[in-house]
Amino acid sequence: MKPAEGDLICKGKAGLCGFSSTNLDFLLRQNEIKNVVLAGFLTNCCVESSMRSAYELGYKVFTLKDCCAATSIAAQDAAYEHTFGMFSVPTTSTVSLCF
Amino acid sequence: MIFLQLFSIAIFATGSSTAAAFIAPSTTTFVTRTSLSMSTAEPAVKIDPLTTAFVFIEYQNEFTTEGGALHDAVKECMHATGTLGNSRKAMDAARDAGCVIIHVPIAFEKVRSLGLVPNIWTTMPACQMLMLLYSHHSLIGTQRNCKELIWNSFRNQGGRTLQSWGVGNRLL
Repeated sequence: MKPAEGDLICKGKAGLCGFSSTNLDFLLRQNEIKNVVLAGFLTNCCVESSMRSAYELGYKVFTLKDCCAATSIAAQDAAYEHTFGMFSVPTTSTVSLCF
Repeated sequence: MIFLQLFSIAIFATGSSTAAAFIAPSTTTFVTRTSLSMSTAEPAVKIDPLTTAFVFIEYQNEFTTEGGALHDAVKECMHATGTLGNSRKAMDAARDAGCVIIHVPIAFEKVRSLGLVPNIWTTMPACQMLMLLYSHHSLIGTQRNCKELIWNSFRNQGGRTLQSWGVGNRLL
């Protein structure tokens, strides 16, 4: 998961939400982003906080279930079963490229 | 179970014999404007890569690597979902499709002294310090400024200023 040339590094994250105290919203707006696809750690903590904020900021949010992890499988399943669908389109990394 | 079914469908649909979750472009020509189709339980969702960012949160050794402080807490779930492998594939495919890739690591800095009265920050009990900030105008200015200082501390440091003063309980 090393950043490649051209990737952006968000700075300032010191809490749970990826937007709070960071330049993430700025980076997204600068690149005219409308869809935000989220993955990472922890599912029901930082990913969830970021998902809720992204939703409230008006982005179309997608969450990748098989690209997240929580402190238990039950917690992971509960997040996707009961919460993530309210603020995002829960999906997986099974993405196909269409030309 | 649902995931496994979707996975099988994806492989079947492409005729691929590999376990790759992503379907490689059939041409080497770089197309600047493509669309992503997500396989979900719902009908496939199409996303315009040029207005899409993949945001990867805290892919750091603390979580991902044996010996990391939080690795033991997440390794069971991580292995069950294949988090790292799937994330790598998602990232590579998204990058190739022209999506913006944003990495969001967490980082802590040493709390800086405010540089006003250096010794007082370390010697005075936290609760007294807060009372002083609210009540003693001559220390750093007006009450309003004091409140702004605290408010800005919350905004900029995620509330860690209070923690650095030893304040564990907050009434909000």
